[in-house]
Formats: sequence, C-alpha cells, structure tokens
Amino acid sequence: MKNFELYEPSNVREAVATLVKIGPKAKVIGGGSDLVAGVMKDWVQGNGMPLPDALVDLSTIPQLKGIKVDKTGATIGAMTTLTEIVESKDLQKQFSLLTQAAHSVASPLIRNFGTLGGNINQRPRCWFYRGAEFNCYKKGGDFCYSVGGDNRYHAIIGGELCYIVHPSDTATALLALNAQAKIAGPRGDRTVPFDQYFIGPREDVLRENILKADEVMTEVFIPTPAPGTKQAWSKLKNRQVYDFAIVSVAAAFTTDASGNWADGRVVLGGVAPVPYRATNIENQLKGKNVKNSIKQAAATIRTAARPMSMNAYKVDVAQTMVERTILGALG
Amino acid sequence: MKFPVEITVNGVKRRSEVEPRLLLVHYLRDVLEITGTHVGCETGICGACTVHLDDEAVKSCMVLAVQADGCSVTTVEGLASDGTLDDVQQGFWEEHGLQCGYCTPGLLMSAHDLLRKSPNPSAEEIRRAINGNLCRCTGYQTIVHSIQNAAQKMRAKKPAAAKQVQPAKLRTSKRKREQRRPATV
Amino acid sequence: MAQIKQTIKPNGKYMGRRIMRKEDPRLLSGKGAYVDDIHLPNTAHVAFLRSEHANARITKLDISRARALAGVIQIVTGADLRGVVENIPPMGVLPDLFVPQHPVLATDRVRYVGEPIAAVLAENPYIAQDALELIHVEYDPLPVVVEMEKAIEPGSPLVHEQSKSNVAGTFKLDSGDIERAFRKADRIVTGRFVNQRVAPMPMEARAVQADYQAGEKMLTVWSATQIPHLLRSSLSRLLKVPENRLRVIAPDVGGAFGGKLNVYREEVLLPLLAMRLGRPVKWIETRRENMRAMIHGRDQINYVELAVTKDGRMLGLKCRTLADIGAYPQMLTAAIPTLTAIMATGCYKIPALSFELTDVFTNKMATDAYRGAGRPEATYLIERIVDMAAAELKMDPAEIRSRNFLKSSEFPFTTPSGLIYDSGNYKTCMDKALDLAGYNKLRQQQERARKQGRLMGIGLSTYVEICAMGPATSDPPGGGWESATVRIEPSGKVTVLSGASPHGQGEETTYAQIAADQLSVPFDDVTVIHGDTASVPPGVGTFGSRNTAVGGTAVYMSAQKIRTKMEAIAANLLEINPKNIVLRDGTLQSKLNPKKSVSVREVARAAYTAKKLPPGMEPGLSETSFFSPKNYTFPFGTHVCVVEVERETGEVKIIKYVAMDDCGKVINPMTVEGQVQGGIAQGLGQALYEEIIYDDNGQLVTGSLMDYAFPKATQLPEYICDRTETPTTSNPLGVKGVGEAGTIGATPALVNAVVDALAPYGIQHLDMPLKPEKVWRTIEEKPEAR
Repeated sequence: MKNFELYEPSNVREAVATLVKIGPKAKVIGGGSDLVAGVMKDWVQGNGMPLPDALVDLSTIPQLKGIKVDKTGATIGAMTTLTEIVESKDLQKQFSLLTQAAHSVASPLIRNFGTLGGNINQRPRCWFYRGAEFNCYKKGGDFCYSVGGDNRYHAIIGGELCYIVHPSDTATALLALNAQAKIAGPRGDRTVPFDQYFIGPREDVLRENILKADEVMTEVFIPTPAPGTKQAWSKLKNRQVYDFAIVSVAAAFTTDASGNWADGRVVLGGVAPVPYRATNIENQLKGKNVKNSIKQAAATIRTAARPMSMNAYKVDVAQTMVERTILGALG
Repeated sequence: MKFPVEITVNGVKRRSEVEPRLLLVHYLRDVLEITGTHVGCETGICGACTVHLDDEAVKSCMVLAVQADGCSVTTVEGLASDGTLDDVQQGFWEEHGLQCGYCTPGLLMSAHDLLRKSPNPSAEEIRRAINGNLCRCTGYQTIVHSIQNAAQKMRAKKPAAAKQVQPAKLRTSKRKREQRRPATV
Repeated sequence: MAQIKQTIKPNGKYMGRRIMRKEDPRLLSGKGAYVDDIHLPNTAHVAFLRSEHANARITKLDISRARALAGVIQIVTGADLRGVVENIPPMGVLPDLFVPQHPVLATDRVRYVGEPIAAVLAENPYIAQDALELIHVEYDPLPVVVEMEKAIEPGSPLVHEQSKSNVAGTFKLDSGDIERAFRKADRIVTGRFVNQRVAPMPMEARAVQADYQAGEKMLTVWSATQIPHLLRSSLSRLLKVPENRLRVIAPDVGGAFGGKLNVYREEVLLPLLAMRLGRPVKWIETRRENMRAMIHGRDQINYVELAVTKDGRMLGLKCRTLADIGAYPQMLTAAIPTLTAIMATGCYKIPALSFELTDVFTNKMATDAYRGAGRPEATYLIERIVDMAAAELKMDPAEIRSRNFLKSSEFPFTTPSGLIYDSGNYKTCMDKALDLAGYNKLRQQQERARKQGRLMGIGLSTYVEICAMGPATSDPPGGGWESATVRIEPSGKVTVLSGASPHGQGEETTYAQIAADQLSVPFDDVTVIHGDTASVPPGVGTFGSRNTAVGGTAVYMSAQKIRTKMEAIAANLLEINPKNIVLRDGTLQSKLNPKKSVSVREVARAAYTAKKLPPGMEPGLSETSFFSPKNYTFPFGTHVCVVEVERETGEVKIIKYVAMDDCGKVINPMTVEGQVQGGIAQGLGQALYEEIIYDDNGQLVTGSLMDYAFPKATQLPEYICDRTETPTTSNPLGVKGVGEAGTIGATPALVNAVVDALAPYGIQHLDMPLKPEKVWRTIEEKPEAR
C-alpha cells in the first residue's frame, strides 16, 4: 500500500480545514473497509483517481458517532458502525428497513468496523474498475470494459459511459426512507436529501455523489415515517462480487384502510449507477389496491430498463423482487 | 513520518512507532512477532486475520495500526493461557473444525464474537455469523458443529450468564485518549 | 447432525477409530508455523513485477527510479539470469509435447497476465511494493489467444512462434471395436461439456523463504509446498547446488489442493537471491498474485458420444477433449488431462473406448493438478452423458447405472484403458446411498412438486477414481514410492519420520495411529515428523490421495520390522524362542507363560545399551521402509444431490446432500469425513459459483477473492455422509485414499440435479457454474418456458 500522511482531527471543523489545506489528494477515512482494504491496497488508481497522499481519519471525532431518535426522526452520525445500527432497538422499532439493509451488508466482521458514512460513500465494485489492469472511464481512462466484456453484474438502468451499479445497501434503504445527509464544508453546513445526493456518470463519471473533495458527510437524518408505514427490504446476492446485491429492493409506504397505496417509495439497488427510485412503480400503485395491482406495477420496471448483453436477467429478477418485497411488507 | 501507538495486545501494553500505512495485522505479525493471526487475502475478504478490537471481531487487514491506537486487541494467542485450550478451541478440536489450520484463528475469533452475543445459536445463525471467514478445507459443516459444541460447553459452565445476551460495546477507547497531534498542518 | 455412522468396526486399538488430531492444539492456539511465521533476522523482502499484458514484447524495462528508492536493496531482471539459471522443465509430458522455454523471469516476451518480469528486494514488503510502482515497462502488445477452440483454428495467432500451431501435444487412447459399438447402438447420445477453469485457492497463498549459510555451504529453503523432496531435486538441478547442500522445509502449509504441487519460478529464484545477497530472503504471495500466477485447474471441453442399446446397455464411448493448458506447461500440466482419458469409462463396463486429447496453448496461466486432477473431468463427462442417455431412454438414472456397473465379482477388472481396478462394490454402495437419501420418496416428492410448478431435481453421481499414486513403473502418471522411518527412542517413545508431506489432511494423527497399533504403545507416545528434507527420509510428496495408502504403508512396514526386532530382543532377554513372543498392551510376553514378559520400554533400553542383544544384531530400534505400490487403488462412491431451482431468479437451493463413499479401510473416520466434506465443498463450488474468467485481451476479470466466488458457510448445505468399506489389495492396510473423492463426486451430482429440475423445460444440459443468471437465461431461452 502506498504511503500517506495521516491527520487526526478532533472535530469536524478541523477535518474540513485539513481537506481544504491539502486539496483533492486528501481523502477522509471512516472504517477504511473500502478505501484502505479495497482501493488503496489493491492500487486501484488512474488519471481521474490518484491514490490519496493523505488520509483524514474521522474516527477521532467523537461527535460523528451515535444514534439519536426523537419525535421528528433519527439522527445517525456518519461514523456510527453498521453493527451499532443493526443492534439499535430504537432504529429497529421505527426504521426497520435500515436495520435490515445494514444487516445484509457483508459479514459481522465488516459491520463491526464499517461505518454508515463509509457504506453510503464507498466506491463501486465493478470488476473492471477494481482491476488494476483496466484503465476505465471511472478511473479517468477512456473506455468502459463492460460494454464489450462480461457485464452480467452491470447496470440495467441509467448507464452511460460507465455502467457501474451503486453498491450501497444502506443508501438504497435511506433513499426509500426519504432521508437526508448533513454535510460539512468550508462554506458551512448543508443538508441534502438523498433524492439529490447521488449522481450518475452523465453528471460526473469520476464520482457517485455530490460530496465535494473538501466536504465531510457528518450525519444522516431520517424523518419519522407516517404512522402505519410498511417497510421491507430484500436483496439477492450470488456470491459473485462477494455480498453486493445483484438486485435489492427497499420499500416504505402507507396504505389506506382498504389497502390502497397512499404514499411511499420503492427503491432498487444493484440496477443503476445510483440507488434507483422506481417512480414508475410508485405512480402505478398510487390510489390502487396494492395487492391487486403490484404485479402490473412491478412490470413497469421493464420499460425503464435497458439491459446490456449479459444482464437481462436482472430485469426479470428486479420485477419479481419488487413484487415479493411489497407483498411481503403487506404481511 | 512515524506515529507513536500504544496498543494493548493480549493484555500487554505495547508501544511502537509505526508508519500510518502499516496494517494492524502486519503490526501484530511483523512488529510484535505475534504470528497466530494470518493473512489470507489482505483485502478484507477472507477473515483469516480476524482479531478482537476492543472486544469486537474485526478483520485486522482492514484496520490501520494507528486506528487501533489506545485500543485493546485480542488475538488467538490471547484466548487461553498455560498451554490449555478454551471452550471454543476445545470445541473445534473435538469436532474436527479445522484441517490446514490457516483460517482457524480467524474463525475462533468470529465464533467468540457470536457466542458472546448469542450463547445458543442455531446452525443457520452460525453460518451467517461466519460468512466473513472463508475456509477452503472443511466445507464448513464441522465448523458449525464445533461452534455448537463450544456453545454447549460454555452454557454448561455459566448457565445464568448465558441467558443474558450481552450487546456489543461501543468502541470508545480511542476517543478517550488525548489527541496525538493537531490535525491541521 | 449428520455424521459418518460408525457401522464399520475399527481394526485396532487406534486404527479405525475417531481420534482427535495431534496437529490441532498447536494450530488452534496460534502456534502453527507457516512460512510467513518464520522470521529470520536481516531478511530482505521480495516483490515481483508481473506482466500486465497477456501477450506482448517487452520493448523497454527501466528500473532506475525503483533502484534509487530508499530501502530497495536490489532489482533482478530476466537479463540478469541469462546463463545463471536454467529453464524450468515440466515433468509430465506427452510424446509430442512442445516444451517451450520457461525462464525464471521473462526477458523480452510475456505470454500471460501475471508472468514475472523482475524481482525487487527491499528492506520490507511495503517498500518492495512501492518500488514496483516505479519500474517502467513498455510493451508492444501482440494478438492474444484466449479461447482454446479458436486457438486451434488455422490462422490463429501463436502463443509460441517456435511451434507450428497452438496444439501443445496430443494423446490418443483406443480400445475395443468402437466403430462396431456405434453401428450396433440403438441410440447415440452426444454432449459438449465445458469443465471451466477454476482455482485451487488455498487460504495460504504461496510463500518462500531462503537462507544460505556460507560457512556450511548449506542452502535452506522454506516453501509452502506439497513436495519438499521433489522441489529439492529440482532446485539442485536448476541452481547446480548438490542435494546434500540443500535443505527444503515445508513447515505448516495452509492448504494446497494441488496448487503447491509444483516447482514455480518464484521458488527457483528466491534461493538464488539468498545466495547472491548473503541474506535471508522472503516472498509472500499476495492474493491478487496468487490468482494470476498459481496454477489453475480443469479447463477442458469434452465432446462426448455414448453408444447405448434401447435397454440402456452402454456399448462404446467416444470422447474428443480439448484441454486449455495456458502458456507454459508446469510440472504435471500435460499429465493431468491424460487421467481424464484413462478414467473416462468410470464405473461402467463399456467394451469400447476412443479418447482423443488435444492440449492447447493459450495466453493464460498454466493449468495443472487441482484436487481430483483429471478425474473430476472424467467423472463429470461420463456421469453427465449417462444421465442424458437415461433421459433419452426415459429410464431412471439409478437404473441405467445399475445395468452397466461392473459387478463385484468381476474384480480385479482390466479397463479399456488398461488399468486394473482393484476392488469394487458399486451397486451395494449406490443402493445404500439411495436408501439413505430416500430416493423413491424423493421421486414421489418431485412428481408432486412438478404438479405445483416447482422445479425440484434429484441428481446422482457414481464415481470411481484412481488414487494412491502410483506404481513407479506406470506411465502416466506414476508417483512411485514413499518412505518412512520409525524409531523407538531409548525411553520407549516413538518417532515417525515420513517422507510424505501432509498439509492439513491429518497424517500426524493417522500415521501415529498406525505406529501405535503396530508397536503397542500409547498414541500419545508417538510423534510424527515430516516436511524437512534434512531430518526425514527421502520422499515424493502429497498428491493423488496417496498419503495414507503409500506413505502410511511405509510407516506400517517400518513398524513391522521394528516389531520383529523387538521380538528378537525380548526373546533374548527372556531366554525363550522368538516365535513364542507376543506383543500385547505394551509388553512382549511369552505366549506360553504371560508372566514372562518385558515392556516395550525395557526392550528399547536394551536395544540402545546393546549389552544383551542376540548375537550379530545391530543396536538401536530404527527402521526405514520404502513402499512402492504395484497397483493404484480405485475408491468409489455415490453422491445424491437434491435441489430446488427458483424459476424467477434462477437460484439453486440444495435441499439434501448424501455422500456414500468407499475408500477401503479407514484409519480415522473423522479425518475421512473431513476430507469428504471439504472435497464436496470444492466440487459444489465449481458446480455453482467458481470460474476463472479472462476477457478477450487475456486480462483476468476474476482477479480477487471479491470476484472469484469460493463458497461461504451460508452457501453450502449440511452433508449426510456414510461409507461402505471395500478394502484394496494394493497395500497391506487395505486403504484406498479419500482426499479427492468429494470433489470428484459432487460436481456431476449437483449438475445432474439441476438438469433434472429443469427437465420439464426440455433442458438437457447447461454448463457450470450454475449461477442464478445462467440458470435463468437457460430457462428463458426455452420456448416451453414462455
């Protein structure tokens, strides 16, 4: 692993100041599961992503850790570990979708050290992107190897130039829960709903979100769901590309007394370069009896999907899983 | 640039100066020469390097030694003393839970982590808990039986304590330390 | 819990019993010593610069910046080694095999991604890695040969220009009247089966350390190897260091599965560097390197034709096999696919066989022995085609097997390939497996499931494999003898020194069981030492399920010799006829008067004090034996796998797995069970998840453990294991070997089950690995599914 300078800020202001001072070759590190063990140790680099010269370790900032739940919602520090999220009774009660999604991440060994912020902001797992020999768009190269290569795990929706899928399970769940990220930067704090947090390759192929090089995600806020909100999570993995989802589905919605869809979200992971909110499906369901119309609604995923040469199966799987997840949430 | 670290390993306080890039597993193996913890992939997948960091099982190839500063680390060498085996080790021995032994130290640490949280785990629960530990020799079945065997031994010894599930502790010791150096340059 | 039932009686106080392993306490307490655990002061650490291209000329290699990095000691390139060290020759060859130059470091040309170009020596591994980033290489890329079927087409680019084509070598086996068999057949069933490239993937990657003691002129090499003695002989030849100045130590080895049954470039270079530098040197392979530069396994395409009568009798088998052997043949690369040829007829009495094998060069890492090594491919092709024949004839898969099995009365049986099967009881074993699985009930369940639209499948695999490698006179692939020294120390404790080199299978335990029983000493009094060429007698190594059958027999023979000598000493001490001495419960006593007795310990003391030995007898109690088997052994078994396939996602769920194996006599049922289960896991891994994928440019796509899917605990089932016991006549212990059985039996059982599940869609075959996407796609492509 390449050598680097290490900075240990004691508060968020110091962390931001360090990032400003050093510039884009400094990166923040949470648990390090992806940045250290994945990117840096495997020398995943390119013109568009030089290996960092400096790491700013956020684990020295106690304020970034912890879970607070009150009437308005849950506030989770970005450095809270996934295990802490999984084991939080408060979250389990009202935000079980996040609990389940966090629980489906890798293994206890990763969850014990991996953080929420790190999970949301991890880099994609595309095997070309991760292979040192493939100088792809996402690394600042001039090619996407998935287009003519083995693309069975790549995007079926929203790919362009680059066909990665967003790897984060918690991000998928958080988007379904209408959560928002709090971001600290040199210009002060800002709050960004996850609706606007993730960006696809069309906007910037070198990044997956709007976080700037001198910014730090500090916490995540999830508003308390409306009473009676049904939540469900499912994830299909096949142990290729380890435990990352082939397709995952996060659903959070309310129904009226007669079982009609009132309001809610359906979000898919593993299908697009961003956690993909399936508004088509939501719109199809609006005002209709969920049980009776889910089959038809789930099928609308087909109109959105543009599968590649080897991943058409993901479309079918996504459709099936949307159907099952939502029926599962109805109980 | 080297950083001073103080890490309690198997109950003994160790002080060293390390490069920030030095991984905890290499710190243990190459600096302290405590070699029971193995490296199987170096990229956080195989789990051979699993140790306890402040009582939580983590992959020590994913942790920088500096991140463990102020923490306590337990490796396989810290499980039992005086040439004896603890219940989990004994459980593995009796049920043939190992062949080449390379992944074993990591599995023992994961098994401890599970049994602390869940003293009477089902086979399915055990399989999920050890999903971060790859074993190429056994096909896992004897490992599952080993952990069930260990659980039984532990429950037999502490029937009262076993009923109470102990939640994981927040890893806080690092925060208690004074800051080593200012962050800004 | 499903475990081997102890229905078979043990054959000794220790032999045949479930005895906890001697090696475990050290491995469980972190006190094992693998190569990387052995720290020598002042060690220089080596890292290899490896080719990023699958086929290219190296036009420039600039090490100056790397050389200047603080902490870098030396950088060695191919040019530095010209004339210093020889090419690495393969051992297993075909008569017409083209043997390319296989240098320790590439000079002007690279032929696979991962081929070593330069070695950096640095003060620590981190600096060595830094230096690699500073080496500048310019390549002139050449057209890449990736797919073996394209590689043999005329006009394909060549991996080696010196050879006329990418055909590396051929092998042909003809037996019986194949044309007549096919003329007489009612049906000819054909299939094309891809046995994909997989990786052995031991948890410990390769590791080499070398140290040269100039004073003693002694070169010591620690390597994670299966074959310390063969490695020593090779190093001696290649480095021109006499064998008696070379010591190879295989300490604890973290699994191997055939991957460490080789002489690798890195293993040759490290000792050379140690001698040049005068410092210990160490190289610990990273997992990424391991995936690129340790041998791979399998990678065959088999075109199979089976001639059958309408009542299911098999008349003849034709097979045309292409084997992708990569760019440079390693030790046994060319020998492995010949094992497929000689075992192709499996458990069946098939009078005619025609097997045509073509080894093909590609721009990839070499294939070589991976657990099973040629036999899994044989079993897969015959078990798949037999199932296809059963489907074609609308016959139960168990029935067609039953009709064609060799009968137990027909052994020893000479097969069409000229092998002599030692013993077998195929039908009994299969019937027992079917009973244990509840086969008839399963078929009824399946019928009900199908009516409900569920895809349930039942797969059988009945295998026979060739083990205990092997007679020194046979060709291919031999293996030869193994040796052991058994020594009773003056205190009465026993030391067993074995030339075999176990690495996880547990022979420290099984050899101790054999010795303890033969010498009537407590099991705990026996210590087994192996893996160090300076302290153990000559050996060959661990492969081909030979450790117990060949190495164990050598222990048995030496113990027998000691027993005879002890009887003579005891008789002398007791002043009675040696014929009247019996060894029982640690004492040698008179058969006629048990009160006249002397303990093993007293006899040992007498052997070393040498005062009261029979006239002319040498002092001491140490005997060495070499066991050279006259024949192989042929273990067999039946595996039954039950699956359910989910239509919408293509996921395969294993509902039940039954393994009925027969490996002859058993020394330790616990370790046998461990071998079977671990083997099944690897077989299922290949069937369901694992594949090495190279892209069109010869780049390794599955280049990390993240992408190469070797199974985790939640992906494997509970195994229900049992045994039958048919002793071999090839060795006095009656043991056949079991290291590879599970891997051989599991793969076709799983695939047969999935194909059976998909039969309602008219699906006759799909190639491994059976990942959800592939299963889903295969169903989708069938009009019946729409």
